[in-house]
Amino acid sequence: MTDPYKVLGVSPNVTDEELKKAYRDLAKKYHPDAYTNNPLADLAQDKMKQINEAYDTVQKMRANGSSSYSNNNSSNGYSSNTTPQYARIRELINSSRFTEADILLENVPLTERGAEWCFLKGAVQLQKGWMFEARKNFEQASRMDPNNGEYKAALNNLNNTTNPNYNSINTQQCNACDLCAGLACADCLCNCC
Amino acid sequence: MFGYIKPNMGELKVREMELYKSVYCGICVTGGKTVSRLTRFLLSYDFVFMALLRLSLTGEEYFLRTGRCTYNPLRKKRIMNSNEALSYTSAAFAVLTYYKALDDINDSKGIAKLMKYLALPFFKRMKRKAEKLYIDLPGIISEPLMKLSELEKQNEESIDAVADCFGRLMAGILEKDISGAKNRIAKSCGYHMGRYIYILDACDDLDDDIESNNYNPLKKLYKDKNKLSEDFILMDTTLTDSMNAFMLSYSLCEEENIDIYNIIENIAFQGTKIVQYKVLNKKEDCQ
Repeated sequence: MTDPYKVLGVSPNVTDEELKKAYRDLAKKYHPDAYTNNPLADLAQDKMKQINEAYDTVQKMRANGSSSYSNNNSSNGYSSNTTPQYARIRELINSSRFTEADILLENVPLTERGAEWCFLKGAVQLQKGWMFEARKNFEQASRMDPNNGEYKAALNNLNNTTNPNYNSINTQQCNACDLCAGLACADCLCNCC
Repeated sequence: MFGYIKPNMGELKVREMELYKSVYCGICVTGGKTVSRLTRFLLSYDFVFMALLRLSLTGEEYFLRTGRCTYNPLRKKRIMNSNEALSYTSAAFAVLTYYKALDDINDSKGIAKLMKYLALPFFKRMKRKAEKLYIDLPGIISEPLMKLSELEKQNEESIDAVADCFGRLMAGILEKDISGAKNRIAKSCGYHMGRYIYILDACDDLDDDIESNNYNPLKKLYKDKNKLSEDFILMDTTLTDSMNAFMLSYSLCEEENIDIYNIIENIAFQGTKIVQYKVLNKKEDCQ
């Protein structure tokens, strides 16, 4: 097994507080919820497991043993309250057979395409990286059925993936900082070739 | 190529900036030596980013040296020694430039067409050299581009469907010779990078394309060009979505070199946002 401290990205002599913080940051970053509908979700899960194991090991090593952060893994399956028509499609999506799911979705007649259809279509498109249409479909699904938590969660998930640290970047106006960055860019251009 | 993907230089640490510049110089020098001197004049930021990603995903060791450059001999600078990532990236760049040039000829008319036609043999030489180094590159690049021009001919209106081709192209370039879980990460990163470049380029060219009546996937969405800036919010969202997805994938690759990680994070979250803002609001001169 690799060095648990390395997995957590800290040196062995950090305080318990720092360790906890490092763990929490990592857990937030790789939390399965951030990777819902993501084709790499399994890798994120592996990573999360690694982090959890590393943290447990370190905790045991430190013989504190008092507080073990319990990670509430939420289930990411598409199984809740579905109509029978879409049960098969959800099954396919859950087992990552997106092409087949897409074909079945396309076979649903236009008149029968409700909120759930939009949601499932969005999920398939998100896997392919077609963010524009995926978002449109998720929005459509929540508009058609505003009370459904599942659809809202999918949309929120798209919005929440932004790293919060960078939300405050100000690109709105040309201030002194922009000027500096511009000069740095220009300087770089001059030197680079 | 397009040069949209660059860092927010002001927020980079000095040593990260040095590394970034050394990759830039490294590609320039390596490309000049192994592929063609022409690549040195055409090199774009996108491929510096590509080289950084390759370095990161293949885990190749790199070394920097201090040297002078033929084109700016007065100042010494740090240059990355030639390595696999650099020569592969410049070869990919050469091949892509050739196919782009070929494509441009079909799009343009009159004197511009003639000029481009005359330049083609140079691009072809460049491509042939790159081909010798990496035999399957032309296949990786030409297949999605063919699909792309097919869709363009059919006047495809779904922005996702056309951007998909360019996404797959970049994914193909990035994933080559990388195996296992990293391969899937590379594919996803490449896909979103390509998708981002294609859509932003389409936004950038929209005005010109409407004027010259060329194909642009956004035409249908934005028929009235006077209200462009408000409606571009939709494009802004989808571009940001792509970069978020990119970063979600990239952060799985367990990069231990914190400098490379920081540069890539800077580009994905900050650098691209600035370019995006400028392109979508047509503020070329702000900065």
